[in-house]
Amino acid sequence: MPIRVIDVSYTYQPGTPFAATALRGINLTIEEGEFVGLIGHTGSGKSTLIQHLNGLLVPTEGQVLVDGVDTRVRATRRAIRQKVGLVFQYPEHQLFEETVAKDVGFGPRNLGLTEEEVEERVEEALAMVGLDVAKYGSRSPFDLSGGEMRRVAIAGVLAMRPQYLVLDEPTAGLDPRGRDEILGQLADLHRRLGLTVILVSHSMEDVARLVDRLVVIHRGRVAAEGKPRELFQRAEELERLGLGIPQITEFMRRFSAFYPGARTDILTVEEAVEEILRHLRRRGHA
Amino acid sequence: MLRDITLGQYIPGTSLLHRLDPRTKILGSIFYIVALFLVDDLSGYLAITAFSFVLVALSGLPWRYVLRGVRPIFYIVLFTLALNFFLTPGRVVWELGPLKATEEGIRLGIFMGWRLILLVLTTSLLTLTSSPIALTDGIEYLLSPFRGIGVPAHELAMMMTIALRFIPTLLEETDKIMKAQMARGADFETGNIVQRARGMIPLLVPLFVGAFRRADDLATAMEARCYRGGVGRTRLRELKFAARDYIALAVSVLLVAFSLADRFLY
Amino acid sequence: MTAMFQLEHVTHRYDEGDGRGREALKDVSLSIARGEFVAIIGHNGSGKSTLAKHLNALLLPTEGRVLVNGMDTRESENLWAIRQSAGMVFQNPDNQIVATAVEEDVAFGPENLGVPPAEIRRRVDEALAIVGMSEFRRSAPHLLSGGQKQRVAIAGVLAMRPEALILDEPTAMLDPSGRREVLETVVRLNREEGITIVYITHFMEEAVRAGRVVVMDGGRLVLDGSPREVFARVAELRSLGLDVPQVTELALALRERGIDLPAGILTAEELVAQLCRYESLT
Repeated sequence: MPIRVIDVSYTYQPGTPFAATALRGINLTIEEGEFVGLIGHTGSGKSTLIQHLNGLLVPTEGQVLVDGVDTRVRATRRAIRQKVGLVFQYPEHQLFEETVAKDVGFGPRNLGLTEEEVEERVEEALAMVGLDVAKYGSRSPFDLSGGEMRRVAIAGVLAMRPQYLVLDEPTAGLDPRGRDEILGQLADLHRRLGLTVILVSHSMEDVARLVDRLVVIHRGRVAAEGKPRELFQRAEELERLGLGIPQITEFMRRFSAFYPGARTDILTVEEAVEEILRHLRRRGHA
Repeated sequence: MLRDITLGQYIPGTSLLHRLDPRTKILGSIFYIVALFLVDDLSGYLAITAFSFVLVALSGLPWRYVLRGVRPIFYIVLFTLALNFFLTPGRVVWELGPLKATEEGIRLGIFMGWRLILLVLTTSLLTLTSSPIALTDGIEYLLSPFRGIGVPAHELAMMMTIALRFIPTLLEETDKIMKAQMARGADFETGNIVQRARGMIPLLVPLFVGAFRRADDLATAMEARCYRGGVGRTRLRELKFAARDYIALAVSVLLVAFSLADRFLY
Repeated sequence: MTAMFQLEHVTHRYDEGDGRGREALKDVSLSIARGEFVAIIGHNGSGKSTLAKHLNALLLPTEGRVLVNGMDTRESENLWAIRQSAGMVFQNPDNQIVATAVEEDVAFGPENLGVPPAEIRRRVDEALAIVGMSEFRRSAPHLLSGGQKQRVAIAGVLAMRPEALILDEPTAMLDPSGRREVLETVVRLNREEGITIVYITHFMEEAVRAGRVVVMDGGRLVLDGSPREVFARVAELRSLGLDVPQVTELALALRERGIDLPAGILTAEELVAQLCRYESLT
């Protein structure tokens, strides 16, 4: 069953002089098992949109259905929040317990699970982010490195066993190694467990590598949508929306200006190498 | 949610009240409060009410906005009224079970409630017409003569500035952490007092940890910009009294004189 | 002429309370000349930030010495002169803005230095103009975007009339447009105002814009050279947990497949030009 966002509009502080409309009639369906990238510049409404997916915000107009259940129904809100895990930006700022295990167990405990079940979930969730419960479980989350703290915080959401995982820029502020670890784990969760992932990112290189489908949000609307390979062909349009394309795709566009016929729908360095060699070979140079 | 809070909201403008020196407005407010607590009869109340309304008019702010500032004290006023009605000894005019309202009580209650409303209404003009920066500058200048007797004028002003600077940031952070914990199934809304207090831990711990981290960062950044306390420090903006400030101060002194007369002569 | 920054065998040990301490810098020697634009890269915990904090006496060396403009950072009477001449911008834009209005914040440094009010006003206006934030001078900082806040922080340092600017991951918390704003501002300050720049970053596209790139690992300097020289060593950078620009990676992959290209290609233009040249030669 999918998440359906139907004609959703949202206004902050309606009826006051500070009223600000963040979403204007969004329509979007996220199918189970998808890996969706959500892109758009700051202030486009992405953050407001993702808070609608688990009922933290409810639409001013329109409706959000999670597996057919309306997020406006109070009684089902808790079930929806379990089903749709939301990882905010800099999630390590929400850590509060004395030990890693207790912090990761916070969500499961709120679900009213028994201690054994909580323990099982904690171990499982930490393993998903590549941390061993025996080594990390009893440590204070505040003594960990930045990248580790981030992973513990993500584990705290995974421990709810969500079907959908929404992440708002999970790699912001990390160094390249920390970034690659987290993105690798996400790809793995998606592939191995069939988890539906919705990733908000500013890095076109990252989304190009990872996602099945991209959704561009601009001024509170869905401005464009499509597979990365297709969408990144529309460079001018993306630029008008304040976005770029991956560096490698940009390079292939330049290359094709000199080598007519060269493919420009390239997303990775490996693909680019083959395409360039193919062209040089055809002209008999390699 | 938390964004809706408007703490001492400053409304920019160019009215006479806006243009007054912040020191004038702070001193004027003090004089006003003194006068307000001196008047004790109907004529005095009517006069000071008229004066307050003139001030609101001079502020150039919409009446509705200024009056809305009184709303938060509605229950306090109600409580004051009830307390005075029933607890003041005197001639009983009305009975409700064991409660006896007296004529003196009603009179006192109405005056006290009235006083509270005027107090909030008029002093809110101070924050509505002065920017936080102007206010802290004003306080620093007014307190600096007392530095000799150990009043840390500069430090107090700096603390106020930093507090004002970080209130919006911390409110935003509170909102974010609350939502993040709610996404993990936390419940801030139901349960008895003990449960709710315990439920606040996942919010308060990250908030404090964050505030300390910010304080640490800020201290380093201030040091890097050569901050070393108030000694030898200059200011971008220097406060200067204009003719209107002297007139306004004279009016405030007259107001106090009038209320003294009202209290002790009549 | 004295160097802007001169580090001689600097070791820094953080006291961990166990009597042993952790060495964040190990025997680092480095000289940065006036007017240079140096990028420092390295993964988290490699010692970059510790190094940066030595450049304006926020930290003092446990061993060795640091000279800023010829002044030893260990001499306490030099402290304020050093901090005035080498200003610092930090990672979190929120946690370095002190005042409740932009121009008040920019004035904070000169106020601390005891500059007369009329001169502060001149410097504030000038600094805000340089970073392109004049129209926001009365705005409340929390209403600005991340990139704007960082530009205000840069203006706050400029108003102290420094000779050098040290930026510790100034773009780590910004979105792409904020990153561009800050980087372009810094590049311009270096080119037009001749300000020495020390720029710490994780983003290789940014490091490419510097005149010199220094790579740190485990508290030591491991590579030091022009961006071209440093980024030519793709395998080494990878093993240090760092990125290389995609174009550089592509050029290397093509070289490995037998296309004769020079090492250390940094931009798309360069690579296209080199491919055309290669083709005309064969």
